Amino acid sequence: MLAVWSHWSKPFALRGGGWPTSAHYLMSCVLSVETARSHFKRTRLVTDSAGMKMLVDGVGLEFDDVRLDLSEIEECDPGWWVLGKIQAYRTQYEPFVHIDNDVYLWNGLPERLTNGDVLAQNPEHFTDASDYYQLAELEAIRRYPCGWLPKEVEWCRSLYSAHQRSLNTGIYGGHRVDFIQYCAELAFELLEHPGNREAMARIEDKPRFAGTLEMFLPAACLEYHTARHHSPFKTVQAATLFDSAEQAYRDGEAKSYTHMIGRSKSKPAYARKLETRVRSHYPRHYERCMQYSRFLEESFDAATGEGQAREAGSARSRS
Amino acid sequence: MKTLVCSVCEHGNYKEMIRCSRCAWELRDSEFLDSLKDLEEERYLGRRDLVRARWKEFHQYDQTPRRESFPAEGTIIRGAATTPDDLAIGGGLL
Repeated sequence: MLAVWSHWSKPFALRGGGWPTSAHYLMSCVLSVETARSHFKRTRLVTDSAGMKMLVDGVGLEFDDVRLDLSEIEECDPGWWVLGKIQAYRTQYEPFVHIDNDVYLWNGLPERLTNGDVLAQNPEHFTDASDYYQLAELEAIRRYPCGWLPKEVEWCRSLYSAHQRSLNTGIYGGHRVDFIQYCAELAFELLEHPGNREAMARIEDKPRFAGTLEMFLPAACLEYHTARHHSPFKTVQAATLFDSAEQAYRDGEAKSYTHMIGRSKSKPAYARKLETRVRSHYPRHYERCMQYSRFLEESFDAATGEGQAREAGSARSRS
Repeated sequence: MKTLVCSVCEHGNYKEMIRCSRCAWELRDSEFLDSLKDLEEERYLGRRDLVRARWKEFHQYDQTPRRESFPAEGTIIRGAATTPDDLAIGGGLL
């Protein structure tokens, strides 16, 4: 099976991926790729030119191939950071597993997952109170005269009300790439539909919708299509590494699986462990992570300084 | 007078039911669901088993009536107050 990683430079430049420093993000990429590498036949990075420059030329990560498919979403609002992952799913045409940059597969994945139609980390439950989904807020689209929501979302909402289920995509992929592409297209369509554009542009805190776009849509599509006799996706089944979020937390270590999920990646204790691990196991990469991180900081400082100089200049010219 | 039982969580003794006070599901009494069969309302028809299963998933540990009070030892609701979101999955392996 093909192992895929993705990196979209635009949101990374703005948000840093939630890590304490850019060096920690780079070290996590190293650990994710290097722990998984031996368990998969081929590896692929889906990124843009700046991402290739950073991860391949800068950090020295090696992949069997590097695709620049994220250049196609360069014009997208980086607030929708999750589009980088979704674009990577959309552009795969063979069975694959996308591995998040904060997931470390110490012993690979069991065959029941690598042979699955769709594979994911675990089912995940959420309600309208869950701040990572904002399904109710997304439904504001309905108030717009030409607003559109996918039928799969409408169906799940009408059936399950506030008690919704998604698929955590720390790992995500499978053999039914037609289904995976369908779900990915649906996410883009939701954002780009002419009737939705105004509603989407008005959303201020876009990262809070990541779960709905990336993790709820595939789950809703599965539920909807497997309940329909004539759907081409009627037989699609999802295999998950864990049966629930609780099991993931309880049995992650037993299954040799680590996911620096959510806010955990900003905890100093984990950051120190990550540094120690990468420095001892991948010293050459560690040095390059530190070097490239310094380069990023200097570039940022230079850009900020230039920005301040520009502002000062324009203030002078105004005065 | 006939009373109704919520067809999702089986909470009972309602004289009329617009919203179950325990599971908060709307309009789920059996008479309502049965009436939809005549209307061929796709969203409910034959789906009661799915809805029941979902209710059980959400309440497999927690039998408390209010959905806002899912405890930490119960089903984790992502993004809610009970989510251990600062804890890494399998963090001990690092």
